[in-house]
Amino acid sequence: MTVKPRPRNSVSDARKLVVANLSKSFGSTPILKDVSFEIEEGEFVCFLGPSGCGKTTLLLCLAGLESPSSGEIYKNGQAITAAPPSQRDVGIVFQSYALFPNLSVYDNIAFGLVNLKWAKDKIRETVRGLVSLLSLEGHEAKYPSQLSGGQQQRVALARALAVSPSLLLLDEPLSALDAQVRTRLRGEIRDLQQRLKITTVMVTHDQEEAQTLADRIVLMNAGRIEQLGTPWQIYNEPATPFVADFMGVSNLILGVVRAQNEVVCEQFNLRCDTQAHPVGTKVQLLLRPEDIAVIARTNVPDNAPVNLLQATIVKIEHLGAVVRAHVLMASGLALKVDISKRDFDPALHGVSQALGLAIDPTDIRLFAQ
Amino acid sequence: MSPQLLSGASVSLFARSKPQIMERSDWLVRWVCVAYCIAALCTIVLPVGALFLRSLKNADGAYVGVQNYLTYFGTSALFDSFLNSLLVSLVTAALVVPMAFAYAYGLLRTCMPFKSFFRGVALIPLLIPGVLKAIALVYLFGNQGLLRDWLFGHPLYGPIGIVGASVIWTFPFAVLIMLTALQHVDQRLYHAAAVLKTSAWRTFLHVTWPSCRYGVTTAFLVVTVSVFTDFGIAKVIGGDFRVLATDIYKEVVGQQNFEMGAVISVMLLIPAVFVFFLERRVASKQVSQFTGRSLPYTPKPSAWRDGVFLGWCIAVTVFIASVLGMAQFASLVKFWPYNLSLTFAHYEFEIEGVGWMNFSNSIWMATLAASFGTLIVFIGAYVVEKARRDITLRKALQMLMLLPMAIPGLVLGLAYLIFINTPGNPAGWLYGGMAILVISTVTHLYSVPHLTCLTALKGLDREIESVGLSLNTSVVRMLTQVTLPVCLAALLDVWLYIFLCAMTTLSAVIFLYSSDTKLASIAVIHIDETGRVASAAAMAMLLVYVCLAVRLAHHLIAQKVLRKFQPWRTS
Repeated sequence: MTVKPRPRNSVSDARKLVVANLSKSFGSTPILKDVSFEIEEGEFVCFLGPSGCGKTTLLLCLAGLESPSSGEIYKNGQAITAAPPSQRDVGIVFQSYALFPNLSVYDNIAFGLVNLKWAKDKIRETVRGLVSLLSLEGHEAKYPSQLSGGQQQRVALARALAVSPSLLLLDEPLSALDAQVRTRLRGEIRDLQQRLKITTVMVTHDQEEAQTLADRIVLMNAGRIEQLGTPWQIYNEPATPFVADFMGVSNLILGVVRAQNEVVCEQFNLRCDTQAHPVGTKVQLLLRPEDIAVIARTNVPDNAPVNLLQATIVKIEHLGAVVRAHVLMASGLALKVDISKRDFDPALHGVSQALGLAIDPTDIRLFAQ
Repeated sequence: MSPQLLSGASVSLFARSKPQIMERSDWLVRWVCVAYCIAALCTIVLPVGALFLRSLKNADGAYVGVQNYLTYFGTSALFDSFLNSLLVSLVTAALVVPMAFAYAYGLLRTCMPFKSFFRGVALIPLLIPGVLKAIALVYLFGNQGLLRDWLFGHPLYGPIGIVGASVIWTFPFAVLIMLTALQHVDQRLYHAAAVLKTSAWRTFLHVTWPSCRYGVTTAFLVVTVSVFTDFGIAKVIGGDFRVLATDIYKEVVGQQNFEMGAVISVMLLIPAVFVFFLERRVASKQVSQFTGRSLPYTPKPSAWRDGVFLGWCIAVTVFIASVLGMAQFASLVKFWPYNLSLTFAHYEFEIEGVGWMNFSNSIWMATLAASFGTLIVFIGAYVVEKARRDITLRKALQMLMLLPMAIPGLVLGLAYLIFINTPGNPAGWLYGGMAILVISTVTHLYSVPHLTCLTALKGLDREIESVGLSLNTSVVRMLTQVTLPVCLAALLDVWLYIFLCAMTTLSAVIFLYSSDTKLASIAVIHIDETGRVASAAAMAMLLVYVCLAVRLAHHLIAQKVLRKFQPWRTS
């Protein structure tokens, strides 16, 4: 397959990875539906979403291991949609490590360099550099089965990086590891990426992983991109209720805009910014548990600038830094409320005790229903 | 075929809505797949088709429709043998499956001693040609047999002899299937049952039985169809009791009636194909309850249970040993049962058309079949596993490669005979040579080695191949550096399997040999026909010793090779 040159005007910056209107279906089942986005050089992007949302298929399309049904992929201004993996200059790391079981750590890392017919001493030098970069000293002669999961994944990373690819693809590389190793390797991957300035795409279903690692997150659902943005934007300015629910913990309440800046939900009213939603429309409200303040019931001022509500505690969960109270309002509406450890008072915040809640109108986000 | 039709077919095989990304290795795999499809067509589909067409013709080569079949069903003697075949195969299966179940249960679910020894004993019958088991039974229970009184005057020749020899012959198959079935159970299920105060019987019914019932069904089907289609045992010990396989032999070799031979072959083929699909259905239903997280079962000692199963295993061992010992003894005795002095005279084979040459033919043929077969099977399994772009092609190929399992050896042999002697067949020169014996043997044995290789290849992560592609690895380097070394153990097993089966094979080659290429297994039948049973036993014993020696050599080589080339396994 030849790489066809494409008109430049379709791509603004030559140093970019551009995905344009990509679709993919297996038989009659659509996996990706008209996906478009751009990745800057040196950027760390995470494809985040629930299982079955198409994120891995999208990654495999970038690698050339899957062919899209329609749409194009451009790299440095050239269409590479039909290019085989060997011509794409990518490194790939899988969740299962996929190390060659019969080759030593050294031979695994050197595998791609041997394909490039490098001189032996040059290979040795490069492998040695990667071994120390990924703290694998002393393991060179071992076989993959003699290493821990974290070490195996480091070898897989070293093998992918050895050929200095211009794009590094990581398919849930941390999912098979236990929690502590995962956190540590996560930091190492980010450091490595920053140091090598290598464009990196990682697939994950773990929102915390995506938030800590990525420059930008592509949040996917059912084959479409729900939102594309920085971790801060995705968490604080979710574009859809799905994003709000997927990122962190949320209370999603149904309501109707009754007047300007006033929404009625079940049997209580909330003041909030209703700019984008005309009076009479149905809306969905997002309240983050940490945005709901707990106030002592006795000192509730009558006309405060905030929304004030009454509720009863039904369950208390100790999560370490915060205590999560599950509360029930008189209308029967259940809410999750986070109380910081400092504010938590066992005497006041027990099951079946009454609780005053304060919500700043600016902390409420509205979505059209 | 019109060009339109042709392009339509290629679209359904290869094309998608958008052209696939094709590496050079993908093209290579695609064309090898196509080559294998053509080869399977020539070695399986066309010969069996030719056999079927022949069953619709008369002796002059004119089509007579189902006339031959009507004759067949009208001849009660011929149709009786169909029922006879069915009877002996069902009785054998009904006997062997419980025996094998108890044996395998003893090996896996009790704490009896010498388990690895008994495991080896169960597989010994695999090294003995079926004919020799029949001969040994003749010496044990025949008219002049050592233990003839045990049959209370019933004649050995006939159904009793066939069932007896078939039981020994199929015992290892059944044990192997039962071992696999009984291995896969989660100890936690037993713990849960025990905590809930479940009786032993209910535990068996709800834990043990569900996990192995598909294994039992599979064993039953495999044994039934093996006995139903077997030729050698019935030939030696069947007496006047007619079965389908001996009928085919008689029609073809005795009366040169190829048309009736073809009709009976179809009668043999239909139930075999039916059982093949039934077995695949059963296998696909077997949902493993055994996951990566399961806890393997470790039995606790229980004196009476361990004792009972030890007793059973010893009984089986004694029986197998006496069969083998009897055969060896019989081949060395001067004149059974009157002169029991020992002699090597029976190993001189002073019979016309028989000699040590048959023995060397067998070794030569088995070596060729095992070596070429392993190579062909591995490449075939490799392309089936790697044809990631051509789903339809790959499914078709997989089906073709399992097909030999459904075709009885005798049917395949007759199909080859008819196909290759079809006027104008460019492969006609193969007739009577060694090559046709090797081809028919490899084709006949193809499916099991194919599955072994496939399992070995699946042991490699699918993603390994993707990594290879992203690192720009050539298909040859990937194969020699990674895939072959990892599959080495499986390849040695495949070689051994084909060699052992080829040494004892009879049905697939009985119609295809010439006087220059006559194999020892065929010679045994011919010697037996002359009535010199001791010489027949001698020839068969030679095969046993070769099989035993190769089996031991395989064990030693495998250990040495694995230590040298697969150091990562020892860790």
